[in-house]
Amino acid sequence: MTGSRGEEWDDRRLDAAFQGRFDRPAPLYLRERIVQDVATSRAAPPLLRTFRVAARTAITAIAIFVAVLATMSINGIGPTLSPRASSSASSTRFPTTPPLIGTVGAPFPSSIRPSGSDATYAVLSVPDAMAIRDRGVDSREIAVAGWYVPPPPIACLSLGADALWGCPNAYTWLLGSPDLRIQAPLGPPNGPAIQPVTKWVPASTARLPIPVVFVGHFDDARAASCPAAERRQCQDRFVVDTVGWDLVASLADFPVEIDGLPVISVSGAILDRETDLSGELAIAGWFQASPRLFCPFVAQVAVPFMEGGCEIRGTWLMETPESIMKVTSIGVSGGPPAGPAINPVFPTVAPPADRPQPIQGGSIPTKVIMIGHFNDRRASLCSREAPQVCLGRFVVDAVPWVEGAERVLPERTDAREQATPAPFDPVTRIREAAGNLGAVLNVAAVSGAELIRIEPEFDLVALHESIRGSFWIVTGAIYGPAIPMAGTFVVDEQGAVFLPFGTHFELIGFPGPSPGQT
Amino acid sequence: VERARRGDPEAFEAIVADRIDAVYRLTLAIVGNEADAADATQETFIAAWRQVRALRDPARLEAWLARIAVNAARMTVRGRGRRALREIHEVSSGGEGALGSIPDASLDRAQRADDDARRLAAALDRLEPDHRAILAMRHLEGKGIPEIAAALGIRQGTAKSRLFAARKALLAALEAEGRR
Repeated sequence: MTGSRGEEWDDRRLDAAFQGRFDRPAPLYLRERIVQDVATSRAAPPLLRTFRVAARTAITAIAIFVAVLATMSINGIGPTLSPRASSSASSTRFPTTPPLIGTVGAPFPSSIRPSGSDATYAVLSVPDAMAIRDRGVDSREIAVAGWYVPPPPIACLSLGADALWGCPNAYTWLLGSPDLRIQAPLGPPNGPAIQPVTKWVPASTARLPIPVVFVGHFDDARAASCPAAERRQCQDRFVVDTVGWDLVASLADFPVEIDGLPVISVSGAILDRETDLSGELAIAGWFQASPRLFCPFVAQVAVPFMEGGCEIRGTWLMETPESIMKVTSIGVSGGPPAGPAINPVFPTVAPPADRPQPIQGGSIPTKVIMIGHFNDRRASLCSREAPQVCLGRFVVDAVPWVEGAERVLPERTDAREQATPAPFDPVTRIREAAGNLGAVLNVAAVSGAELIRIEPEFDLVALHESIRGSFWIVTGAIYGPAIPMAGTFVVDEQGAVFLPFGTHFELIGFPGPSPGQT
Repeated sequence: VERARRGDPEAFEAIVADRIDAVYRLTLAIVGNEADAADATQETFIAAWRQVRALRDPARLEAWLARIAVNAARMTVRGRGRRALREIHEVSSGGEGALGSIPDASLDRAQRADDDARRLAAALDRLEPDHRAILAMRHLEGKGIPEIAAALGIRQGTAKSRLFAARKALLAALEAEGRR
């Protein structure tokens, strides 16, 4: 191997140069940074399963503490914890007002519009809420995201849940991070936390931190009637006016897993999208189709299902069931959702049927699970919109669950003008060719022209001479060594080609059937 | 790995401790500077933590992590865009001072190795991230074709031809660097 100036760059020399330049240990701070990030990422959707796994252990531990607490309460030994137990006793003054902008990441929405309210709130983190609390008297209504630890079932002697101080609110926490190792309700938690006052009962029975957004305020007027010694504590309680969002409820009634894929929330999926991974995701959410729109001047585009027409931008899969359109006597008006949402597109499957919409009033979204992927290879062919926008589209490969009803996969559709039965079973053909296929998501019979609209690269790479005939498109996922890889199998009598959806993969051709095989 | 798949953060932290140096090395070779390598390493493990349930075969952890790391590093390079960041390398003084007592032959070897490493870094800067990734897996991590293919999610024949193309590109880049 000859390099510059006729020098020999053999393997040994290259190895040595690589080692000399790059064989360095990771910086010491990096591991700590990653561990911290992992800790704060625990509430990502898979955590719901962690909750379930850990629930029995935690409940056992909590039961022991509850017994101790009950004894303490009965003996008149009240809790002495305050929201500032882990910080200085005196109030910290911040020189400037913290901006009321969304400061939380997934799984929380960055803004919310509680049902029945016209107001939209930027969602703050617990530390930001503490900063507002510690600035002095400030009873603005704010939305705060955190992990809620409800009070234990203890006997409180004389004070009810409405009381700002004492039992049981002294044992109620909204944590800044989902630390499962905290000793709550004995607290105080290890990290930042505030103490909410609420009668809300979460849907989950597991007594573990629950991701939630509370809308409420500090410095409630009732603090004035607290005993002087407790007044400061009362002012610092976060009185909850409404529950703006609750992850458990938002995913309640959805299955935990479907067709071998864990079911995740929309905000969890958005995080996955940012990592540029091309695997298949099963996303639970609320679907709202666009109203019928007239889109003039639609240019000829290579990938019509990704960038053709204005209705794509009005079609949403939302984290929460938002009513984003209003039907009035003069027409339909609306805008994008306030919470996390993605634009799904449907190249080979039919969108879920809309719920009947009201003649007047707000739209009602449909509760669905969609299987699909971001970062689709075909985004590179987008022209009218930036390819980055197309990469962010959620390409739906199957709709396995609608309003509680599970559909059997693969779904089959026939988009040809003159449907004729296939002389072979495309699914069987694919299974024979691909061997370790993971899941077959949908099967569509299409004409050659339709095939080019769905797989624009096919005419460049096809093994076939003509595109005028009929084709069977089988969307399947192959469970490879790492991330499940999905793509289109294009099948006809002569063989099959697999075009993976991900941007980092390449075409795979499969041989046709052996003689005599149909 | 099984415990991590079930969502045990401590088990995952053990994986981080075990694999962080390898991931950092690989991303450093692709992105070319330490700050971006640290970011890509961090993104790799966060993505891995979020995706760990998708790891169906725990024995493939190494290849799976490498694949995520390569993606994260590619994204870092892509996201860098117009930001031209180039590390400033230490330059040997070449004077008598501290090096004076080292025998000439050893000094030559050390200087040549240092020179090679710097030229390699500059040459890699001219290559596509995919080429850097496959070369790093081969020459830094000592991976064979089957392991490279598994990590990149491609067939072995493809890995072989891509490695060949990457080495050809590297040679051309080394030559261009040599003329500077």
